[in-house]
Amino acid sequence: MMPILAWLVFMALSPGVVLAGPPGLMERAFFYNDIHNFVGKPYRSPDFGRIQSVVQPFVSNCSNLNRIIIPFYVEDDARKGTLTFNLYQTGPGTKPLFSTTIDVGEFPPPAKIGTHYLAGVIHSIWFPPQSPSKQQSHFWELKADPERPASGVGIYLTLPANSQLEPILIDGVKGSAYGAFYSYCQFRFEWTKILGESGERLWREKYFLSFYLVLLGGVGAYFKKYSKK
Amino acid sequence: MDGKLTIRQWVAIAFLLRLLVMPFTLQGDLLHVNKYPFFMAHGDWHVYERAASDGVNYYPPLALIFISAYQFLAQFLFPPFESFLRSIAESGSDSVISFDNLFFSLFLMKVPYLFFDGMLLSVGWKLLSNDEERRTFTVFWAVNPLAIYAPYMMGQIDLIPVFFTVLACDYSLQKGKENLACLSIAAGCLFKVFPIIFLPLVVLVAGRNLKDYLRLSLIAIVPVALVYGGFYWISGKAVFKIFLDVSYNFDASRNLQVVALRVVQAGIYALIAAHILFAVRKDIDYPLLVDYFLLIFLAVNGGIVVGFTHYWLWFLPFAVLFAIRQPRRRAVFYVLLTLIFLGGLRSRPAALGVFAPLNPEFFLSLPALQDVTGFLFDQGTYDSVIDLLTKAVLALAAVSILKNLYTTAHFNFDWRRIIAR
Repeated sequence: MMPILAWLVFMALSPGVVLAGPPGLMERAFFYNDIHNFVGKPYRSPDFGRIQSVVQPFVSNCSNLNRIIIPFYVEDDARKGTLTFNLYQTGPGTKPLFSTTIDVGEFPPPAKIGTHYLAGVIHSIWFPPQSPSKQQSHFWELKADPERPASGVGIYLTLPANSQLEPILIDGVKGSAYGAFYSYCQFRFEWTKILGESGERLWREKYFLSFYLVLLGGVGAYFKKYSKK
Repeated sequence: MDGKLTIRQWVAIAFLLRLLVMPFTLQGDLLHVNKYPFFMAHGDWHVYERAASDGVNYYPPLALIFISAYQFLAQFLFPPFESFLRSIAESGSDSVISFDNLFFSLFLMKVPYLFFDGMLLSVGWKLLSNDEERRTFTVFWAVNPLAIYAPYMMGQIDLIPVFFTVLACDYSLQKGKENLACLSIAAGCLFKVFPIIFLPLVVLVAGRNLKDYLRLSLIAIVPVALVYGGFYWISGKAVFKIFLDVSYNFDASRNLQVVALRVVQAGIYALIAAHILFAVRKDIDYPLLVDYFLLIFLAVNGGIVVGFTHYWLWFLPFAVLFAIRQPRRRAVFYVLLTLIFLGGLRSRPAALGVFAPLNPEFFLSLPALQDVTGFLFDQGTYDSVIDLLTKAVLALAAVSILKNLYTTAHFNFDWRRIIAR
């Protein structure tokens, strides 16, 4: 009963919260993790004290893109300065979507990242849901602030290819690595769309599902055959 | 409703519940289980090196051989299955969710579990003395969420070594089948490591003297050593990576808690061994043997993380067998199941996201249990409380069974017999 009660309390409280300011409860509760690229054996990028910018192009596979999480490595004693985060949509022309500053000095001490052997700070960047974002090309950029240059901090890079990503550009130079980061979309309950997509997936395998239904029918017949008279 | 259903009908319900989730559920573990055997099924035997270079480990060799052989046969019969497996092996987990034959492939991947599930049920029946107990066992097994979730939704292979462990329990007390009991343990630990902890128990129960103990031990150890040796020859030390990575490993050097846990586990094993040696041999029956197995599981599971839901499948058949005979203690079984639920389903792909094949964006967007508990409580405190409660329940259950063992007619302390042995 307890888990069901907890679930009900959670669900009852969810709609009552103001949705405008991320991270509101709806954004935190119902979201889709589109890109999870903290994979393989992540390694450290150059320190932002030695580079000016990193640019990570990506394609979003969901609508309402509203959060990017970047795991940073930090030198606990030496971290300082400010970074600027910019998000752009590309296509015919480049459209700025969002910009914010990240005060590296306010980062908490580094901690173990998930189940990984690496330590760092997982920093969430929330922005208003971007619609349409599905199948749209974007890039995020981290720039060193010339007035308060950051140092003792950098991001993690990883090598396994991801069909949604292009290699990261460090100071404009493209290598073979990708930024280790996560992207998320806010989920909206458009039931017609949800049912339509599920139906489409089921219809795609109609032959197997016909056999499957026959199998279920067979089990039902077995059940009936051995019922007590 | 229960009173009206026959045992065969409960078997049908068990089958139906499993069939209902098989094509529509997917979790990363199922992909991991099937990824590396694909290479072996295509002639590349250097699977352990490949897994090690990916930074992961793979299960023991018989799991690899069995799943490779199954894939090899299934892909001939159902060609789209080969494409699906290839996309897991070559493109990773992200691409498979949009695969054209996804439901069909997920169904096929889980079919072997149905076979072992059925076998486990039939061996479980043999450990029980009457039809009413067999029927109750079937009911408990048919609707048990763990028995459905771990193999058929999560796709973990634990059901196979669990079957071999129950089979070893069955053979241990059958005259002339002592060797098979040890071979069952060997087969189990060639699928997952954990059944090896039961070898001393099986040897003590099935053997009668030191010569028997040695012979039976060798019957279990030699096949394991040969199979591992063969793969060591192919893949080098990468084949042993699993022993370094498993969460219940034996690295006790840096952690006093682990040392204390190992001492308690060894103590429980010693008490079981003493009970076997001091009890009259003819008094060891299946209920007593089930108590031994369950005690060892309780001791071992005290050392694993509650959130690793599929590990709890290990003790499930024995817990069910115990609960059937001890109706008044069933509450402990239910409490433990609740704690396993509250401590598990932590990530979205493991919770409602397991239904992602039906609609990835929808099901993976729904909160996991951890999202809810993290909202209501401080997650760290919540995890610690669940962990402590689980350990407390396991400890209480172990003490209760031990007390029962040493205070009933089973325990017949006779030094003359011990010396004679």
